[in-house]
Amino acid sequence: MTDEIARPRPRPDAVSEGFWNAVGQGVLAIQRCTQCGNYQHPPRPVCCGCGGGELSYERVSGDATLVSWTTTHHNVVPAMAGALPFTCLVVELAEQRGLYMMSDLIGRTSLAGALRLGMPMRVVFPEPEADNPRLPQFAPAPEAVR
Amino acid sequence: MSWQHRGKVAVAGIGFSAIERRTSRPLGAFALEAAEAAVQDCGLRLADIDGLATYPSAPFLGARNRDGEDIISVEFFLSHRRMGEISWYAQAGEGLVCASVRDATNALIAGACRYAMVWRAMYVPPGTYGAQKQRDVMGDAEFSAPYGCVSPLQWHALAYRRYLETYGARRESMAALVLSARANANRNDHAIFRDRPLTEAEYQAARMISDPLCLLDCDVPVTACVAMVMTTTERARDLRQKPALVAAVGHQTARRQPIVHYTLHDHIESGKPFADRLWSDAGLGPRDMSAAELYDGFAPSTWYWLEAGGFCGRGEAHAFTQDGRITLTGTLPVNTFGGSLSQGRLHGMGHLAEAVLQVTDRAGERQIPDASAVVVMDGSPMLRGSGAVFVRDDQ
Ligand SMILES: [Zn+2]
Repeated sequence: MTDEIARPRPRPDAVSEGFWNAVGQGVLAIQRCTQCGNYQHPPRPVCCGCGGGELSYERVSGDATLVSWTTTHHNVVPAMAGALPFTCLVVELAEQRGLYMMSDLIGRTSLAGALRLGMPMRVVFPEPEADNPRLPQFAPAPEAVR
Repeated sequence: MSWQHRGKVAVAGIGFSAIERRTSRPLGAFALEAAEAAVQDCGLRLADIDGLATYPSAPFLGARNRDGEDIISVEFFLSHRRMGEISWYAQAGEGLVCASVRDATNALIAGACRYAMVWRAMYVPPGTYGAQKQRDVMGDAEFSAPYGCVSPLQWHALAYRRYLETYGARRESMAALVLSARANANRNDHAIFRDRPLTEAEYQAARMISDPLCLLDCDVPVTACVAMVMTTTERARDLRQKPALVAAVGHQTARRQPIVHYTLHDHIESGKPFADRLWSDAGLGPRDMSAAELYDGFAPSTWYWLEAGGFCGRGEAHAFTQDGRITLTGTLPVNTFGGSLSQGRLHGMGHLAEAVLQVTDRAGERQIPDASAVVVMDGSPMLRGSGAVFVRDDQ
């Protein structure tokens, strides 16, 4: 079922391509200001903290905690209707408070029952379905699953 | 110290168009209907209007943004022949339409115009409201859309889940708010659900949209326009209706990181400084309010405003809203007109209109006796919300 879905596809530009290039190599890298050390995601052309323009993509640990999740029943992306209902999640990366990323459990629905607020999560890079983009995803960290 | 311009500007009149779901009439017809009703309410003509302010954006994916069709921008009225010579206008990009009340208030204080019209027009597109149809996504959407997370209803569901989990609340408790709003809409001729009662059993059986949000936690899309005329209090006293004085008006301006969605990490941190400033400007507090019109595009937003506004403590809104406390006869009537949930999605304009009607004793069968001050909080405390306090003219 889920192999028939067509996920929206990122079209990277000069600001975001560092993120997607790293993902292509199975690495999670987040934009960081070389001046003040602030991480920001989604990326911006200047640092939202200090205004610095020297930003680079820096590899992060991939450790995170679960902030929230929702299982969507409404057909918000017609090309993904085959996966409904599907669960989206938000995690907060270990590197900085308020540094959030999204994930989903499409093709990994068995994980939904284990979700608990604040549980440790870790980045994974599942094989993309058919024609779909490679995406960083998050799964409960091994130590969180008993 | 309260705001130096407290009470110097007022809303002088209100006009509603018909409120419909999908309709064959163009949105432009609704806008003109509302504008004419608003000037007539004041005893003015369209030609007297010389200031324009709106929040025009079409809140769904795939909008054409064609004036008169799915948006009504300032341009629509600037070019309309019956309007007067316009000397000032503004279009808000954040904060929903209460931001336009702020714009008009400032313009009137500065003398940039004499009679400002503020409006919000909303349109229901054919098909699914807000479906993501484009395959390729750019910018911030690169980091959310590939995961199937594209809609405000999902972003709100994420925040709501976090609220429930953090504070040990149950989604079933939202029935009190939704049913109270519906009962109020049943007393409002300008409500899409005027003649549709709602029962607790219907609420609890409503289908999930994006859990924990069910269908009845989401406002109902409508095609409609509401307009109001603002002027100085001095001028407003010479017009047909009693004026509703602006005691305070402002925006949420908290610092924050870029985000791809909204979660609940900061509904108090970002909303409370804004609410405190509003209270301080008005020289009033939450306990002085005769009613509170708190945005409910998604029902949990009203809970967050109750907490950010200081009506109850952090994590308490789910309990505070029980036992009839927020109904018309409760200690704090909330969304006395039915809210967006039951009047229809007017993006805060219904909340503003109701506050004005309440403090001018014009709310008919929903009138709160001796309503002296009513607060409007628009949008969400987690977003760039905005708000205003309206007070009765004692003169
Ligand atoms: Zn910086």
